[in-house]
Amino acid sequence: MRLSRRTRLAGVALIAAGSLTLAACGGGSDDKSEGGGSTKSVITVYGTNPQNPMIPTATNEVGGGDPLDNLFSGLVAYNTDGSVTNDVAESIEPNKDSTVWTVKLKDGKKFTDGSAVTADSFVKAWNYGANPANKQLNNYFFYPIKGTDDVGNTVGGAKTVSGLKVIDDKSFTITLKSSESDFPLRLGYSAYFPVPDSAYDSAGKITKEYGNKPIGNGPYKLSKTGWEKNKQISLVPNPDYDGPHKAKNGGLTFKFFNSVDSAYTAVQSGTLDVLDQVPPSALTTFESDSAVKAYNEPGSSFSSFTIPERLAHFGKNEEGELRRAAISMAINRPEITKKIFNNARTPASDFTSPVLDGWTDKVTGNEVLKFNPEEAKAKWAEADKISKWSGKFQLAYNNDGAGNKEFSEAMANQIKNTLGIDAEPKAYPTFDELRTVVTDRTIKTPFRTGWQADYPSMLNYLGPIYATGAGSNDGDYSNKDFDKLIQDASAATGDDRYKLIGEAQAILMKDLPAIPLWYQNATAVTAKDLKGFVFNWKQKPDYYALTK
Amino acid sequence: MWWYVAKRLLQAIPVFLGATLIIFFLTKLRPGDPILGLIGNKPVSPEVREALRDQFHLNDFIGLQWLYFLKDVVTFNPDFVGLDGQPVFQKIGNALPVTGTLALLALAMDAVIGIVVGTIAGLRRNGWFDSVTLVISLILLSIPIFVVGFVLQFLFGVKWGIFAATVPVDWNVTDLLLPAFVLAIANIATTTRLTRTSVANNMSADHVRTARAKGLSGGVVIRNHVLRNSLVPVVTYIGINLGSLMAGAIITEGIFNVQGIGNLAFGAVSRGDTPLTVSVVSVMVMLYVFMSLIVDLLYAVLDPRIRYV
Repeated sequence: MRLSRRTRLAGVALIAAGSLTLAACGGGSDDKSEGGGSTKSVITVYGTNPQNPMIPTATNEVGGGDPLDNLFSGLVAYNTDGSVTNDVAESIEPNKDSTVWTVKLKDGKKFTDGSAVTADSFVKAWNYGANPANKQLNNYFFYPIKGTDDVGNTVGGAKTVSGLKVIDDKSFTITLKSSESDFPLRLGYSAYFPVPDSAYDSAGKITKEYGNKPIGNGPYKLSKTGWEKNKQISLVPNPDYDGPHKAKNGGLTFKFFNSVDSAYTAVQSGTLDVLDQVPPSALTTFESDSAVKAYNEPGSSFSSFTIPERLAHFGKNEEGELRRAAISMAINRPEITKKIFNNARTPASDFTSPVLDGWTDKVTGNEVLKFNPEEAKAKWAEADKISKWSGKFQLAYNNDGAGNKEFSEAMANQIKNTLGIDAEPKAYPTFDELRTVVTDRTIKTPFRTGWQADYPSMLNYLGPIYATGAGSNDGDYSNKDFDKLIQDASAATGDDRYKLIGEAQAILMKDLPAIPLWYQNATAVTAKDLKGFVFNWKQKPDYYALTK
Repeated sequence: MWWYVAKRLLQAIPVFLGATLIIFFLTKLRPGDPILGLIGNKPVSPEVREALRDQFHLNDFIGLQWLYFLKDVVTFNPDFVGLDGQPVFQKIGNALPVTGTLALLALAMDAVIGIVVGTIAGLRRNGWFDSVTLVISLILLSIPIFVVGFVLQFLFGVKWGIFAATVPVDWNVTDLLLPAFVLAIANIATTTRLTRTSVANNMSADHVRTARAKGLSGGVVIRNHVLRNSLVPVVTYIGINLGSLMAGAIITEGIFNVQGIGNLAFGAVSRGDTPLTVSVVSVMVMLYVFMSLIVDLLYAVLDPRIRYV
């Protein structure tokens, strides 16, 4: 009797505990389309939980960046090929030497809260982003503007950037540090988006609420459910938007996935429409997979590894030049892109990207990027005559990126076999560990580097990385001639510009501050019934054009 | 018995403090500046980097950082945020229901299948059924969970479309059946073996022979005298398992894209997000402590010789 009572009690306790947990799981469900009863279907796309508040100047990674690009529109909008069309701007006119740009805004542009988009919406947001006290991760994007330092902080921690002047409600001027003829190309980037007055609190800070529920002026706006942390962000078309990227679908839902593998399976099984990358596990099969539509073409991100000049034997002298060339010629790029990346990379023939205007594979001196074991051995031997090689050649990489380990090992082997020296990869477990030693300049080996452009221009692949003192010049490379050519190219237009860029690249081919490896292909899979998928220069689809 | 429960709950406090302290120090030992991970390939100004380090107390003495952390947790500070500026408690609150349901489903499958199959095998020891289950459970135990996971996902989710291949955001219980089964598989094998051995041993115990001699029917003997006594080790195993099911579902959650605790922990560790990592792991530790208390209480129910005062 006593036993059975106890049994019952325990049973009740267990059931109670169980149902409590289950009850907590109720909720969820029915947030189908709320796009004003439209019949166009909502497109579900791959996303990850944003790692920062969704503020244009604070968001620097794709998880937040992709939704932001759809929630806001800037002065200009990027066309699929990387050229720009005025969006909020009526006109953006330079003065004679392209150092002062006058921006005039179109009439009648509104944020989704009804307030007007004014000159102040832009200038205030940019001032906010450049002021280091606001800790905005994108402050670096303001470095071309007068009144900021090399990394985009306002000079002396000032509250405003001296190069920005509001003329009236609908116009303002931007004064640059040096002449730049393609400056408007930068202005479509998310760091330059406008922010409405309602975003700021009484102390002039952008509020947390705004970071959770940004109010923009773009082709889409947040749905009622908006950003559900660690789950999804859902957007509905903004009926008031009348720019070049007007939504053709009934909305976008960025579904968050923990792994690209599970997202790939979701596309296969029809529960996700667009995955803008392909996991390494599917690289060999995705193009023949009958459950999905596959896309694969050369893309805009560039991979290299940097050999800092401060390393012994790699200094800025004849020995260093010989050794860099020898290392570069010892690497069989096509073998690696084929065997390790299944042709999802294209061997590099320059320092930029083939998707850009003005790109050519005929860069003076780029034969140094071809596999040439005899020449490599000869150059290495010649360098040995100047100063005998000793020690190990190590190549640092971060082990949390797919394929890094494999290609670093393969490359170290190729160098070892060709040059007959001791070469090995050196793993850092995570990306931030590698970046810490690189940023603090404590790293004692060559290391892997990469570049994803901020705006579609070849100069963006050269200036920020190899110009003296530039923000991403991790190898502390410095060459006066190169700096001069880059500056002249910025001011020049048309064929003159491309000629100057070619000369600048020829210098890099000789000095090899970084060894170019390959361009990353843009790969994607979509549902079979999805239409309108085209890669833009950012290796992303034009989300507004997707339909089903 | 209530006094015993209170005592055990009080003991949980030092366990919590100790666990957070150890995990906190361990995550801090990891080299690398999480702020640079946040920034990515782009350059950052030293001013912004320092300001962010200050905001997350990264420049303070490590013990002091732990105290900051404790203060936020103990006071349930709603502004307690991870490196990404998102509230930690809200994230854990979002992740717990789905992980809890997944764990309970897996536990139910484990208990029902494991105990039934194990009992039958134990009652007919060395019969054909026993031999077959032995072979099957050995196979199940030796296949890694990610192999089973991907294969079942492909077959049931992609090829035949019987279950959802990945768990949608607005999930319901049926979406979780497949992942729960994958999660339960290895445990089912162990539970079966445990039950089988335990039942087989009890069949030859004195009190069972006595019960038979008293003339009780076979079914009553097995239900009241064999099974109940055989379940003590099984309940221990299953109970402790709920703790590890909640915590150890990282691989399964990854395969099926379940936005649960395991994934939260995985993401937090790989980003070097100490506040979130320590909070999530603390929740796991506390669940474990809580489950072992329930298991201990169940002993008293199953075994009349055990009593708590």
